[in-house]
Parts: sequence; C-alpha cells; structure tokens
Amino acid sequence: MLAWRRFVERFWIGLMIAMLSIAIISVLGIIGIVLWRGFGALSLEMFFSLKFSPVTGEPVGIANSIIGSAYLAGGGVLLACLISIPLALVLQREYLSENIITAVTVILDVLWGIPSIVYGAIGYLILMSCHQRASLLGGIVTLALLSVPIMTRAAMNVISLVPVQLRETSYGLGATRWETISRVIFKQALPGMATAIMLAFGRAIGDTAAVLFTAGYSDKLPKSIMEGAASLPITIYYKLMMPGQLAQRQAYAASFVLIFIVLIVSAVSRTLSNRLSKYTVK
Amino acid sequence: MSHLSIKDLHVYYEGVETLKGIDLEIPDKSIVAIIGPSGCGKTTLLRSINRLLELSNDVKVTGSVEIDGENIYDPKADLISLRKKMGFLSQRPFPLPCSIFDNVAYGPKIHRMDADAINAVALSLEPASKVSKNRKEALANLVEICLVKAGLWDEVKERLGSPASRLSIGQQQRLSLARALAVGAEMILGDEPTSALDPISTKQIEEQFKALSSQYSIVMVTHILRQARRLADYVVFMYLGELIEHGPAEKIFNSPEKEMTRRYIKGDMS
Repeated sequence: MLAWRRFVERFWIGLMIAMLSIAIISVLGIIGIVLWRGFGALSLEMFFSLKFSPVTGEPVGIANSIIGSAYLAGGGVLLACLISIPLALVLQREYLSENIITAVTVILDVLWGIPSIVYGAIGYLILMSCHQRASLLGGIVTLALLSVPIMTRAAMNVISLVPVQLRETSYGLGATRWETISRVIFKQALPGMATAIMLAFGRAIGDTAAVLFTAGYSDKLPKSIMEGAASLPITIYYKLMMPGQLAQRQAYAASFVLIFIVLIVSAVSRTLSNRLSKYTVK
Repeated sequence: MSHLSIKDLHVYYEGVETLKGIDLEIPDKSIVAIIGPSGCGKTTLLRSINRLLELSNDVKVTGSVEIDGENIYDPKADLISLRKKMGFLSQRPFPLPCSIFDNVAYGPKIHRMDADAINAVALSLEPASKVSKNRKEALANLVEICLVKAGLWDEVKERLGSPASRLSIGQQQRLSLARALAVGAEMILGDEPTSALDPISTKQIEEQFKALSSQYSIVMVTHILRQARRLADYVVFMYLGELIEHGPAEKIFNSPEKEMTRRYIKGDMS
C-alpha cells in the first residue's frame, strides 16, 4: 500500500515537472528562435531610427512602431484604467444588488471572450461614422475597449479577496461606504490591481487585429493623436509578408523587441506589486 | 457616556429567527459578558448593537436598540455617529492596510476631526494629556495616548510608521482597541476578542479592559467561562437565541435562578 502511495506521489510530481519543463522550453524556444532569426537585424539604428534602406527603399528603423505601440498600449490601458477601476469598485455589494453585479459580470465575461478583430471592426465602424481616418486615437479607444473587461474582471477578483473583516473594521469605526472602499479596500487590493493593469497592457501591446483598421500604419512618428501610427505587431506582420532576407530578419528582431517589452512590463509589475503590498494585510 | 437598552429585539437570518425577543438593560461603566453555548446568538446580539449585522445578506431586525434613548434601528438614525460611539473588536483582529500610526489615526481622519475635537478625545482618555492647536500635533498626541491606554505604546513607539500587519496577533488586537479609543468611542464591543490570542496577549487585553471599565461600558461575548468570572461585572446568559438569565456576575455564578444557567455554569451543558 505504502509503495503504491509513494508511486502516486512520484507520478504527480513527475507530471508537474514535465509540464513545467514544457512551459519553460516553450518560452525559451520562442525567444531563442526569434533571436536566432532576427539577430542579424538587431542594431541600435533599428531601434532608434526611421531610416530607409538605400538599396531597397524599405524601412530599416522601427522606432515608429516601438513608439507607436507604446502610445497605443499605454494610452489604451490608461483610458481603460479610468473606466475599469471605478467600475470594479462600484460593482461591490455596498453599492449594487447581487443580481446587478452578476449580470454585469456575465456581460464582462462575454466581452472578454470576443475576439479582438471584432473590436477592431467596431472601432473601424465608429471611425467611419465619425468621418475619421485610422488614427492613434482610434487605436487607443479600441484597445481601451478591449482592455476594460480584462482589467475590470481582474480587479473585481482582487477586490473579492479582501477579507470581509477588513470592511467590518472600517465600518465599525464609522466609515462611510466610499471611505471604506477608497481607503481600505482599494489599498488592500492595489498590488493585485497593478498586476491586472500590467496584464491588460501585455494583451494590448501584442494585439494586432484591434489596431489593424483603427490605428492604421505610418512610416513616421505620430505628431498628433489624429494621425495614423505604426505598431509592433503590424510591423511584424508586414515585414513577414515581404520578400527578402532583411525584412524577414527585421520581423523577428521586432518580435524580439515586443517580447522584451512584455518581459520588462511583467518584471516591473511584479516589483510594483511587491512594493505596494508593504502595508497590506496578509 | 452612553446608556444602552435593548427592547424586544428579534433577528432573522434568511428567515430563521436567531434572536427571539431580547430585553436587556446594559449597566453603565462595567464589563458585561454575554455567555452561552455555540450558536446561541451571542455574536448576533453583539453585532446588532452597532448594526454590523447589516453587512450580512438577508437579515431582518425588529424591536429596538436604544442608545441614550435613541433607537438605532430608526430609519432616520445616523449610522456613522452611532458606530463611532462603539469601538468594535472582532474575534480575529484585522489591522487596516496602513502603518501603525495611520491605523489609530484612521478614525479621527475619516471623521474630519479638528484639533479641538481631537484634544477633547485625548482629554477624556487622559485628563493630564497635552493639548495642541496644531491638528497634526494633536493627532500625534492622541495616537500616543490611545496606544498607551491599549497597552501597546512601549512596544511600538519606535516604529509607528511600519506596517500594522507585521505586528503579532496579540498586538494587533490591542491596536484595534487603540483605534476604537481614538474615535472617542463611548462603549467597547468585543466579539470573543481573545479567542485567537495566546495566554499572555489574552491577559494583556483583559488588563486593559479592567482598566478601561471605569470609563467605558464594555460588552463582550465570550465562550470562556473562566474569563467571564475573571472580568465580568454583569453576565448575560443566552441559549438558542433566547435570553435565559442576566444579572450581576456574582449572582449568576454563585446563585443562578434558572436551572439551565446552573447547568451551563457547572459545565453540564455546552
């Protein structure tokens, strides 16, 4: 019997190690392939310039895409924060009935599941109906719409983990609902919310379909919010479609930049989350 | 100093009657222990006094709880000032997600108490305390007095800015007490406030309660009979949502009138 129990124990540990290995190998494999294919094109000139190749006339620098993506994802997530965090805070029993909260939660879950191309199409329709061309603003609004359900649901989950006794403590001292939510629940949930925001940023910066019709593409750096802007995912897509060694290598180099940004954002979110949890109740 | 009286109080949780017509006058400036076996409605009774019951789903309350003659269940009652009058200590203390100092200062800050109001609370706690026209100084002074009164000052005076969540659970419970004193509470409600604490921390809380009982009415739920014997001036015995017997501790422990009380105190019933 004991031997059997030991076998079961070893089996599950072995399975976990195998799964973990698959995950690690996949990540390292993707980074490795992208680096191997794109290494030749990685250069400072590529990151910081907008130069064109004198031979083919193709763009060499991808500064427009890096800056464009940063604007799009940063702006989109910032706008989504302004909607999602108050929404998550108000979707509490303090303010709304259980039925309303459930109904909104279901709607948010459905919105989360909608493919981003649909958001892109809706954004495009809105732009068309306003007689506007694809622009940075269009991309930001579309990415914000895409991020709201992700961020709101993640923030709601974090808030639901705040111990009920913490609310009681605050109410017991004569705090109002808003004081309890803003000074206690929000503070306790803040580290988790930082993660939620970074999660949304990661999705927004990597999304292609949502910005394809709405942000357009431009070889230049956007000077105004109404101009079209390049983004990394679309640059990768265009370059992969192009013939020629250089364009292909650049596509992988751009992919590496995108992965690198996501890794950095993830590391920053972890550090931020740890910092913010200094005062939280464990 | 507030006076509390409960009249024909019924509480229904999801349609089930958990308190069945409680009538009780809480004596002023004394420690009142609510005792009884698990599930008898002790905590429900305590939480009905500051209306924390309402945070639970599907609760219905009838009857009245009067503080200085004002029914707190009156729809027009001011819940904020009512809860401010009653410091609440839960079974497991929960520090707010901020520093030790900010935990104690939380009440005065949310109630937007000015320097005079803060000084008034400080003087009520310690007649010889310093007063200051500067709100920040007055608040720092009040925080110190509350921590001294809660028996925590010496242990935390060097680290008021550090997170309250790093305190031991016994210290956290004394911090809860300090936090309640800082809003100028006139009554302290304790829901088995020592049940999560070690014997030394329990003793410290009990000592603070004893010291504070000359100024405050303290109502505490306890399932530890020895604690009730040690602390209580007045004892309320409940069973299955009914108030069986209440009276001065000496009488309840030495010559209870009801057979059920006698059996409970002798340990024949749990």
